[in-house]
Amino acid sequence: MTLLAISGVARRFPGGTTALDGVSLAVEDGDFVALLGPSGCGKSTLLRLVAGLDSPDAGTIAWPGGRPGYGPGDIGFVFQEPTLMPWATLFDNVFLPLRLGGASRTGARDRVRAAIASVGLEGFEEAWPRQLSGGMRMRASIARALVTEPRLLLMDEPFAALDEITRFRLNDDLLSIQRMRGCTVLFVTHSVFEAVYLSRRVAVMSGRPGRIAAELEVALPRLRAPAMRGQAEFAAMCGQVSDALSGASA
Amino acid sequence: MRALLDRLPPLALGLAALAAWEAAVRGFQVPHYVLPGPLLIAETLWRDAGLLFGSLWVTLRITAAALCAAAVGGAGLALAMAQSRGLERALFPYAVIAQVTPVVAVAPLIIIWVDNAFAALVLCALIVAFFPVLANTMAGLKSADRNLADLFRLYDATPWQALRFLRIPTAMPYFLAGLRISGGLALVGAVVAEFVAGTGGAQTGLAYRILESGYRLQIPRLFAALLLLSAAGIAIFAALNALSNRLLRHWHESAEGPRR
Ligand SMILES: Nc1ncnc2c1ncn2[C@@H]1O[C@H](COP(=O)(O)OP(=O)(O)OP(=O)(O)O)[C@@H](O)[C@H]1O
Ligand SMILES: [Mg+2]
Repeated sequence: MTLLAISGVARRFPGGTTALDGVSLAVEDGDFVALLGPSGCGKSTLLRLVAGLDSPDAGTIAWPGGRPGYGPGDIGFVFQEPTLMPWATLFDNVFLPLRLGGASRTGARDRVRAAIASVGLEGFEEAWPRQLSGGMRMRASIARALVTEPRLLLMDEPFAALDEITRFRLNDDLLSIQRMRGCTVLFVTHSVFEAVYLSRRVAVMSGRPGRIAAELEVALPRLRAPAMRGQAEFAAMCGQVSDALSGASA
Repeated sequence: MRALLDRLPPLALGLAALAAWEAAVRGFQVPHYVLPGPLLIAETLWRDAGLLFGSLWVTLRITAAALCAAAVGGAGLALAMAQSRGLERALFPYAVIAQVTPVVAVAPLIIIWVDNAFAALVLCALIVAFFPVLANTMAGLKSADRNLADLFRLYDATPWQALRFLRIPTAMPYFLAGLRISGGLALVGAVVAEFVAGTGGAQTGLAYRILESGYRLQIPRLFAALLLLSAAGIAIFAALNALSNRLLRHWHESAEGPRR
C-alpha cells in the first residue's frame, strides 16, 4: 500500500532559487527509503514539504491511505542537529510532543520512559542536554520523534555530525526500532554507504533544481547486520548507487 | 581555598591603593574638605551611620521599585508586542523616544506632575531602567531556534504553548541580561531624579545627602555617601548576577553550571 505519493512537486523560494522541480516519489507503507543527493539539492526542502511545514508551489503530496492517522504526532521529524530544548531535562524533551498533545506528565510517564529506553538512554531521564554527548543528544532527539509512535519517521541527515563508530551503532539501533515498530522511514543522507546499509530503496537526487534522478532497490537481505558492510554484495550495491549519483550530478 | 586565592589579587591591590591614599593625604597634609583620607571617610560613615543608612534605604526603595516595575513592565510590554506586529510597530517608537530623552530633562516635569514624591522618583528611574529589559526580551522572544519552532508546528502547538514552552524559555537569558543592565540603570535613574528633585524635596535619599554635604563642605560625608552608593550598585549587580546564574545554571553558557 502506498503511504505517500509525491508527484510533480516544485518549490521556488522568493529570491529565485528553484529548490525542487518535478519531484515524484512514492513511499510504501513500512518501507525504508533513503534520499541521497549532493548538498543543496533540496533534500531538506522535500522533507519539510512532506511534514507539512512548507507547501509546494506546484504538484501534490498525497496520502492515499489518509494522512498518517490524521493527527499531529503521526509524523516524527529528526533534524540534522539534535534540536533539544537546552532548558529542559531529557525527560521533558522527550515528553514535549505528548505535552503539546495535551497529555499530563504522570499520564505520559511510561511512554516517555519507554521511548528513552528504546534508544538506550535509560537512567539519563533527569540529565540536561549539555551533560549528554553528541551521540546521546542525537538519540534523545530520536526518542522524542518516537514517543508519539509515528507511522512515518522523517530523518534529515540525523547522523551526519557523528563519528563512524557511533553512527554505525545508531544505524543498527534505528533498524531494530523500525523492525519493532513497523514504521515507515524517509531518511536523508549524504553517505552512499549509510543509504545502502539502512534502506530498501534509494532515491538519488540531482541538484539545481532538485529532482529524483534514479531509484534503486537495494538487493540485500532484509535483515541487515554489521558484518554485511564487508561483503562483496554490499560493495557492489554501493558501487551501483555511486554510479547513479555521479550520473545524476553529471 | 581556590576562591580565596582568586580574590586575593584584587583585594591586595585595593588595600594597597587605600594605604597609598591615606599616606598621601597625611603626607601632603591635604585638607579634608578637598580630599579626606579613607580612615576619615570610614569614621564619618560610622558616626553618621544612622543618617546615611536611612538615606541609603530611601534610595534603595526607589531603585527596587523602579527595577521591579522595569522587569514586569518591560517583559510584559515585550510579551504584548510579541503577540502582534501591529502593536509592536505602534508602541516601539515611543519606547525608543522614552529611552533617548535624557531623564534630567523630563524629571522636573514629572516631579511637578506627579504629586506623590516617591512615585515621581520611581517613575524617573523607571524611564531610565526599563528599556534594556524591553529590548532584550523582545530580541529573546524572536530568537527561538528555527528547527524547534518547526517541531512545535509539526505537533500543532497552540500559540500559547509555543509561547510558554519555547519562546519564553528562549527569551529568559536575554531578559536576565537586560535586567542586569537595568539594575545599575535604576540606581543611576534614582540618583539623577533625587538630584533634580533637589534640596527642596522632602526626600532624603543618598543623592540628597551628597548635594547637601557638597553645599556644606562636609566632604568626608559626601565621600561616605558616595561609598554607600557604589556599594549599593555592586550589591545590586551581584544579586542580579546570582539570580541569573541560579535560573540558568542547568543550561545556559552564561551561567556557571556543571561543566559538560
Ligand atoms: N528558506 C529558504 N529561502 C530561500 N532559499 C532556500 C530556503 N531554504 C532552502 N533554500 C535553497 O534551496 C536549495 C535547497 O536547500 P535544501 O536545504 O533543501 O538543500 P539540502 O539538499 O538539504 O542540502 P544539504 O545536504 O546541504 O542539507 C538551496 O539552494 C537553498 O539555498
Ligand atoms: Mg539539508
